[in-house]
Amino acid sequence: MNLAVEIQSLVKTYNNFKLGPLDLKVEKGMVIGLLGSNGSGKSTLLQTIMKLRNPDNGSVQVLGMDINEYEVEVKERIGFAGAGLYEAFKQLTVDGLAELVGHWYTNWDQDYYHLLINRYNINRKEKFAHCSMGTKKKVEFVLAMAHHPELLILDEPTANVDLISQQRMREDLSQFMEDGQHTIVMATHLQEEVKQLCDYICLLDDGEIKDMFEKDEIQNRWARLWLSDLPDHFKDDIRVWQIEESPTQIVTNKFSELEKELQQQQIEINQVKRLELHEILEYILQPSSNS
Amino acid sequence: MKLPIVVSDDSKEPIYYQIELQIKRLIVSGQLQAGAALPSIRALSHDLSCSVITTRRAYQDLESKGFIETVQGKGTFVQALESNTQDQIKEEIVYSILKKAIEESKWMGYSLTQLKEICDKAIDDLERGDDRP
Repeated sequence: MNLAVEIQSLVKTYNNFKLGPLDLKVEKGMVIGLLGSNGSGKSTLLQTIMKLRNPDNGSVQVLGMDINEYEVEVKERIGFAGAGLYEAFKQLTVDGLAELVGHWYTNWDQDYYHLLINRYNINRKEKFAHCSMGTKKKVEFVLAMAHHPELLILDEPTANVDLISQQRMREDLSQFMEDGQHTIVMATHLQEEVKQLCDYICLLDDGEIKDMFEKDEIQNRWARLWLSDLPDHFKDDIRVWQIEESPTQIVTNKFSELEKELQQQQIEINQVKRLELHEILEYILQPSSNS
Repeated sequence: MKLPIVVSDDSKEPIYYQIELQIKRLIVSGQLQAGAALPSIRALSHDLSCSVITTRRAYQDLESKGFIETVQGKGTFVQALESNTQDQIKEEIVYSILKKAIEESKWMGYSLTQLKEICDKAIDDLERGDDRP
């Protein structure tokens, strides 16, 4: 497997928060969505991959190189958006910021920068400090894209961004992924983003990776089933997460498995409904989870 | 380009299979002619909100069955089908649609005899040019 990111035994503590120890492998050509509540460690993880924060322990390999040893070489090939990266330079105009950032990258593409600035209706002469939250997000996105990176690390790239620009960003990100040689790791709260872009979902909870799975696996795993009958032994089954009556229905995270067993026991599945992502997250993240 | 494909999360059929079946349908019905270009795996995933793992699986199945061909660096294209394969696939598709309808009716409590009556009626109505239910 060709890995874009490989994290091993990563630990980062600060204040009262502890991230990890965690391991994560991201295959090249894939889009990984980091999901989790506010404060679950998504931004910390992204910043640690970017070496904006130094880990207490563990290793981070990006595009086959150790970020500690080859920081400059690796960062040339990464586009990063998030963490208020440009706040220190907020007195510059958007064009001024681009000039500054452009110097960091040998691959900087000024024409592509102009194209994106127009595409997202950004006023190039505006001081970054005076830009709205959404415009700042768009500027960060454009600056992350304009040097044609191989890997994008994005922290809620479309938060506060207008709907049309959000859709364009998703289109641009799909286009970015087109040749199968590029990779995206992104933190997000938006269902639409997960649906249209992500191949894998990585679920963070309180600094730990709670689960990681292929997005469409959800369809095979989680479902609400309406049944003709529910024998007692299923009521204590750990694969049954919720039971409701009239009409009899259960929620399961092992749909394919349970489907076969129910059929063997002559129980009819009257209707199947897949769960929405946020419903699944709620089940997985509930404190008394029975998995 | 966008393909007229719709996948359903609530179907019992896995998404890759739904995609596969619908592309087959577009090909055997002639809506996608031999040589026509298909969207890239990533673009189709975006349109259908599924992962590239799923679309890749559908394309790989279609490719191994000779429906499509991927040319490195150029894209994915519809292959010419032999006419007997075409007939066979058409029958498969009609069979699967009817089977789904029968399952649905059984679930509502119809017997097979009742089903045949309904089926005969539908055929009669269609032949008389009356397509109201």
